[in-house]
Amino acid sequence: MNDLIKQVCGDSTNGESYVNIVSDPNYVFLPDPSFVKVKLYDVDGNSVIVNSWIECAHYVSGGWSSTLETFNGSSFLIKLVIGISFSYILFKFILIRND
Amino acid sequence: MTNQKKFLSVVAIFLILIPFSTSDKNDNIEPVVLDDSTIGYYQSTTCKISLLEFYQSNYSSNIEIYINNNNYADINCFGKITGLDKNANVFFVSIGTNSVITLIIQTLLWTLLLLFIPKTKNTWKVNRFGALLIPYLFIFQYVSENRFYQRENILFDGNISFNNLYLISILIFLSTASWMVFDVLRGRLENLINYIPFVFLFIFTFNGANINFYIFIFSILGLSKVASEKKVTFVNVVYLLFSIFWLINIEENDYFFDGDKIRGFTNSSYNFQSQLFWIVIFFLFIKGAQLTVSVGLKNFSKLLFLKNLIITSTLITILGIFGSFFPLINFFNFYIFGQNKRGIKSFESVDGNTWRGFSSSAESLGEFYGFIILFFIIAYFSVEKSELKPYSYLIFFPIYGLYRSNNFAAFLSLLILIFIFINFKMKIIKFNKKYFFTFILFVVVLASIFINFSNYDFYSSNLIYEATRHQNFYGEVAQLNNKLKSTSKSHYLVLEAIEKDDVGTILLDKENNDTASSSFKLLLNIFTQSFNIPLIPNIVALISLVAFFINRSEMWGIFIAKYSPDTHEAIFGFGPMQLNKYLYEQKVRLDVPKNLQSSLFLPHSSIADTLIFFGILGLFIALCLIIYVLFKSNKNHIMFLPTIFLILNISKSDSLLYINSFILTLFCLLILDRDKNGANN
Repeated sequence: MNDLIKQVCGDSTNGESYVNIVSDPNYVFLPDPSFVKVKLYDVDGNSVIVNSWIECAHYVSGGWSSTLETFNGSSFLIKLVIGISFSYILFKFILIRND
Repeated sequence: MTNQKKFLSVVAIFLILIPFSTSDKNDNIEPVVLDDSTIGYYQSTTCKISLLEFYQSNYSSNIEIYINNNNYADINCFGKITGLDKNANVFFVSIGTNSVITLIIQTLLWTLLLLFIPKTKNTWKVNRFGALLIPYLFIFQYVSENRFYQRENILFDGNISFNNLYLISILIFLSTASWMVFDVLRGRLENLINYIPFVFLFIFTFNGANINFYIFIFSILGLSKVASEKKVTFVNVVYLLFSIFWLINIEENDYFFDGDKIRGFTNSSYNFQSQLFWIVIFFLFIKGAQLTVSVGLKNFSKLLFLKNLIITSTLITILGIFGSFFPLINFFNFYIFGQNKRGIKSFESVDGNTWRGFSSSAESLGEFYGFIILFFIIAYFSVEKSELKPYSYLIFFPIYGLYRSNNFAAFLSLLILIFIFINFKMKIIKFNKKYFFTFILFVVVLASIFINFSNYDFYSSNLIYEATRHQNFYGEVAQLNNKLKSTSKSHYLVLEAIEKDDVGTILLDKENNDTASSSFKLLLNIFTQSFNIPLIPNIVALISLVAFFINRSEMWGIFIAKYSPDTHEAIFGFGPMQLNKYLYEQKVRLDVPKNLQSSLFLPHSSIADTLIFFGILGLFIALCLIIYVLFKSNKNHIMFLPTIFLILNISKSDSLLYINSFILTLFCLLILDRDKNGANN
């Protein structure tokens, strides 16, 4: 987990280490002027800009990442089945020619 | 093993393992050893770590893991961890198994398996009609049973439109798949009959779908058969009339049945479209089976059939045991063999009595094991002993399986049929008229003694009592002083009414009368009729007596409480594979432990199942056809006694609802019907 946080958020700016703050609903993230803002995305494509290393670490530990994954399942699916169908037609064609 | 089979095996292994081992190696996300501190890591790196990567890092850890399949997850999560949690010291790992990708992989894998069936010299010469139209029929199912499918896939879109890539993709794939299946079967159809025993190993239910690969195969064959038929048979006309009734009788409802352990062979909805789909598909399925038997009968080999029965039972037992010990094998058993439900997780206590996974019910698997043992004994007398020798040692597996299935009825009926067969072969007792009348006299005397000296009143009324217990009677009555230690207030009143021999008074209450199921009212009327024919037992009392001795009183009582058809439905049924109305229409209050109240209570009798689907008329026709086939068949045929064994047992179990038992019974009857000369004795 720490490697992942380091990869997305960089090194801790004030020597902080990540602690789980999920259980504290009143926790307020304070902006850190020395921290270079990072934009994070969740799996649904929602985005958030984090202003401190601890805030960034918190989001990353919750599954957010710095890259927006734009995977289009339906588009992938149709390419896959067309590929399979063409492969089978090709296979049959080769088989008939060899016979 | 030939080179071709070796090649196919390698392809199959790749097809299984590759989707569960691929992941992005450049994302620097590596699997870690799983413990309490790394749960968060897996939760925040979903869809990044493949199942096999994870297992490689954790197989030596001393932790308990259970691998769940997550059909809803998107395609990019296929084969990867989509979630992880801990509950009671067990780590539950969710693996993405997107249902469309699963459909593709399982279809390719199972079509590859069909290639293992040896080709015959003759190639089946029938047009490709079935292969062309069947995919559209299955797309129709996706639309008509959309409540089922939208729960199973994030990509699901049930709208019929040219922009719907989801349905178009499935249509393209199913078209290719039906073409492939057709090509594979063309040279193998004559041999398919000998491989029917494998239906108990390869259940072939698509994960995340309410369809089964056998239905796909046989409906393709069935449609081709229908297309080549030149005349309309009487049975076809009767089925058409039934179909019209089933379709016009549908009323607005929101019933939904997720399929549970009969998924793939049941209608999940009760609407016009889904009803139409199952009416057509059931018809084509039967036609496909008929074609397979008529084409393959001349190639039917009892030795090969027996060999496949024994191999199947051996593999079921071994893989079932492995699956109960190793979570990864448990997962892949489910995935590769197309099981309806996950295999058991442990080998202890009650769990150990069932082989759930390879069979949805231990009872039906017990019947299968009994069938194998009987078939083996009959084959022992009709084939060369040297030919049987290699399998003689493996007969231990079905014997062990029957013992572990806890199916006493199968065991008892097996013993009786073995006795009849051996007596027939050895001529120990010669049956003649004298023996027959002595036997009848013995039964009459025994019955009289039983009625006079046993608690006959209790046995004969027990079914009505059980049915009453589970009705929603006296819903408004305040809690009573429970003198009889009954478990519910209605229970007490029912007990009281029975004690007073006055069950009918329950229905004098208008609310109770409205609440009671129609079948309950009918049976109660028959049971309490005023006239009495001496020596002829009341039919309800007789059923009650039988139910008591085969331990079916409660289950059949629940069936009576739930089964409430109107007159037309009682005559024609609800339609093939249609359980929704039976399961959800009649309000009952099951008098069972709380943890079981939401369980699936099936009728526990294939006769009752047939009654639900096809009504009294359909049941009557089906029974007449079965009796006709058995009566006309060659009694020396190797299938004769095993078929009787199956029919006896399924009458007290739900086996007809399970596709493997249904196929085996259907094929046995079709073989007996078509092979009247007994050429294959």
